Amino acid sequence: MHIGKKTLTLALLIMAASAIAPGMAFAQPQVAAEIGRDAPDFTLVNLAGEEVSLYEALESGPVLLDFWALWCKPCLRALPGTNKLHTEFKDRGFTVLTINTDSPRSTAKVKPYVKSKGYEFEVLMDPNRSLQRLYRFSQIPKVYLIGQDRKIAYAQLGYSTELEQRLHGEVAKLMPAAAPEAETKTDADHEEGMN
Amino acid sequence: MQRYAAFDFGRSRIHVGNFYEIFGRGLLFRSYEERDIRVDNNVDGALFRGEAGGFRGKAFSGRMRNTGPTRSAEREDVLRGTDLEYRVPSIGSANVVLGGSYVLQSLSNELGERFRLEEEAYAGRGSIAHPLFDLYGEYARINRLDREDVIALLGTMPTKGVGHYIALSMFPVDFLTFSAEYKRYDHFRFTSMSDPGSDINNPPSLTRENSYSLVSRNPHQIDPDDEKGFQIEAVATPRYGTTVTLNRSETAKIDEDLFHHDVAFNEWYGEVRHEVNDEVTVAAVYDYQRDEKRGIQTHTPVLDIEYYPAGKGWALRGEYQFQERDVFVSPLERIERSHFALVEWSVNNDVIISMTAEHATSVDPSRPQQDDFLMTQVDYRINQNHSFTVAGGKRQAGFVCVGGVCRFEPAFEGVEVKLRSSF
Repeated sequence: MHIGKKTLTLALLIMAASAIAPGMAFAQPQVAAEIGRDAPDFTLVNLAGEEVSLYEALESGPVLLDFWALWCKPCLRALPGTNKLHTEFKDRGFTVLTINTDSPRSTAKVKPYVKSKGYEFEVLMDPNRSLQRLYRFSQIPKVYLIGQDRKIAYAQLGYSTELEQRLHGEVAKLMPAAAPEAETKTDADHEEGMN
Repeated sequence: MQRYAAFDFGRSRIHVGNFYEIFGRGLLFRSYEERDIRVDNNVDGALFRGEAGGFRGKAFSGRMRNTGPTRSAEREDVLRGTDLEYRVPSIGSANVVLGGSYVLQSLSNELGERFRLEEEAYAGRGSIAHPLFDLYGEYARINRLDREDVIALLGTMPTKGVGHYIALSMFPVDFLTFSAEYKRYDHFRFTSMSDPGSDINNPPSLTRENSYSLVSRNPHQIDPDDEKGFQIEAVATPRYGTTVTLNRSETAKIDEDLFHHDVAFNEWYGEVRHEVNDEVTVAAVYDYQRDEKRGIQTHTPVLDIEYYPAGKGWALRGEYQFQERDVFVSPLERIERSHFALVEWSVNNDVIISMTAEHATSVDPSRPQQDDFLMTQVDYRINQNHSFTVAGGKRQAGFVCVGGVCRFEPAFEGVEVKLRSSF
């Protein structure tokens, strides 16, 4: 390869400058500011053509909003974890509302994709990204965990396996305690795991 | 920037200020923001949204922001629009929605009321959502002014425009789904009268939205004045962790035979994505495109590997792409080849470092050429609305496209600093 000295120097300089990045302590400060804010209500149409509203969903328990699009690879990578949360907590009043933000160009492909992956969570369509403006953010994947007090309990931007685990912990913290038998079983399992 | 006041009463809302809105799937009206292609045609005015007894309505009046190259950010045309949907009470397990839209554009210019221009557009649509299939159809018409004095001023233009769009999705079994779409746009460009570069509508282009660099380098740019075509996609999950996607799209001029090989744009796309385990995903892609208008035919294989280590905040992704580009338009005939590699390191949830390298050759019998490109980029998310990017090196010219609307990015060498903010 013949790359000019100037180009190579520039590219390497940027690399060198960025080498300090791993040492920078980022703990998603950008989303911390959102926690505790009121979650605005909205109504969108799901894949079955029915209207779903946030505040109505909150009547049965906490709600997770997960914003995604077919072109966003980290979003697609995060969806199996979102489906697991739905499966694990749905019987305890927890609702997962995923918000698809693909433009009308890809609308027809969303339901086939969701069905082919066997996802069971609710998918709401927002082709003009009205919720991103309502919640005032621009990048995805983004999740909001909303408590029954209609306040944002947790927010997360981006995807990594660490964030997936952290989100699971935050959902579990917000859920009302499980039935006594289930609790006993969980504790026993935990002790067994420790041994 | 958004600035508005909104008043909610029951299930209705009045919004005064600037706003974005869409009617149906955008055949008639879509006001939206897409930063990658520098489109922001928000409307400044008043918008009403309301619901009652199975009906859902929207109505607005305002001025759309021009974003075309000639009149950027001016607002001259007055737009008025209304959209009404009715949800038919459930028929078995199917949800049926019927709807209609109307948009009127008017422009009073300095020549006075005598030259007040008007264009109106209307559409009807219907959709059925069923557990086994979804069907959506929309028919739209544009009526342009047919006054002799205006024609003398602006030149002749067709007085009628027509657009059809149909989409059918089917889910016969859990592991196999299909979608098929058809379009027909005849003199269907609905643009600002004061700035023909600014679109009022945004009909679906029915070409695949590709995310790989070389695959999206020679895109099809939608021509709403003379275009028909189809797109079919099948998604299969034959075993857990494996997804196969096949996509086929074709676009032709309205008076051409759609199934003849001489179409305007033609694409085949195949992708196999496999989760090797919880941490590693591998994807293999092959794409073929032929664009008669620009005289380019491409073959592009891609290999894509993602690594997300368990319980960690970092991730690594690598891509290798190869493209053979046959430029067959005379007298520029040549074959070009590109090898492209990308390494992307998500250092943590806020910092991404990526490096791209490309080796490009042009096999022109009279003038063989080759060139190399190396680019390093660091993206840092400052907060939820602001991000900072530093890039250095050299990159190829190419198109950036969203929804069939494209912007050409020229070749670049040097350092680029970007601060992206939304308010």
